[in-house]
Amino acid sequence: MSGPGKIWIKESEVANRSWGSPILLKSRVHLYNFDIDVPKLKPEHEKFLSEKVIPALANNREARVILSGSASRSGENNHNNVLSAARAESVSNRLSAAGVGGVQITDTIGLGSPRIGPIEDEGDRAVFILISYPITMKRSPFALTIGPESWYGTT
Amino acid sequence: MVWDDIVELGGVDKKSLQKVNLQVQASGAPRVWHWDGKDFRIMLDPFPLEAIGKRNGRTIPRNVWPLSIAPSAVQPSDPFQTIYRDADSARDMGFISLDQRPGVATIARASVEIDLGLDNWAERGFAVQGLPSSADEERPDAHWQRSG
Repeated sequence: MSGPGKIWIKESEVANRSWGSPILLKSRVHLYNFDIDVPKLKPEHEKFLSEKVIPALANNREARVILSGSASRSGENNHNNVLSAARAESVSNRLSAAGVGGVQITDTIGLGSPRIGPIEDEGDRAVFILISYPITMKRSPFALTIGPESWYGTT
Repeated sequence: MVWDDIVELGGVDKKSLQKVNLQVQASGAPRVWHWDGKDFRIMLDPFPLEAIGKRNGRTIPRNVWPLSIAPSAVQPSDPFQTIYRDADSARDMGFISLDQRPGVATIARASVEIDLGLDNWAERGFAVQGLPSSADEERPDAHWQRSG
């Protein structure tokens, strides 16, 4: 056993776009510290998927996700390719079981292991999740008001 | 996004025009993720409202209004909805008065426009909100324009 599953979250950013086109937010999540040579999700990973990723994908059916599995450098390349793909598939299966699979998962791939770095690194035993959210906007009630008052109380 | 309301500044009710308040609601992603005792922002801050602004038919230079996330007290209970706001003088919002005559200013989201009838606002500093006008009165008409 290698300890609890870990999660790294990167704050979102806007995908490259032209002026006036719809805004697409890209959000990255890294589920890591899988057990060595094991593709199964840890409870912490399951909890994060259930509480964060699945509700976000269920709320926006236009959101899309790419799952990329990874393995540490120990072991044979062919084995690591299979193992990394199986880790990504574990996440895919979990999302699909919650009803957010299908067209929302655009790719599930195995990256194998990195060419450089430590032989055994918890960050390499991982699944990288890239979520793309199309953002829509609408005016709130009284969205544009004109007068002596400002939102922040200054005049 | 649909712009379907009209705001007009006519200068007839003697209200002082000092601020333009702009608010939009964005959806599609969680506002923030709380995890492991930390907050991870998912929605942008600021959010780039991109629009075409015109005054008297001429496009104003400004075409992006960065809107900040509104205070948490006014955010919807729905964690997937985010309210953005900005407040500034009409001048600082980019609606510069070009001359002394009454005119019309518009701000448009993509091809859809919302009209601001700015009658000499910079010089007199008076405004009225939401009243349509007529050409007979030589005041600009506010137009309903919709889009999906």
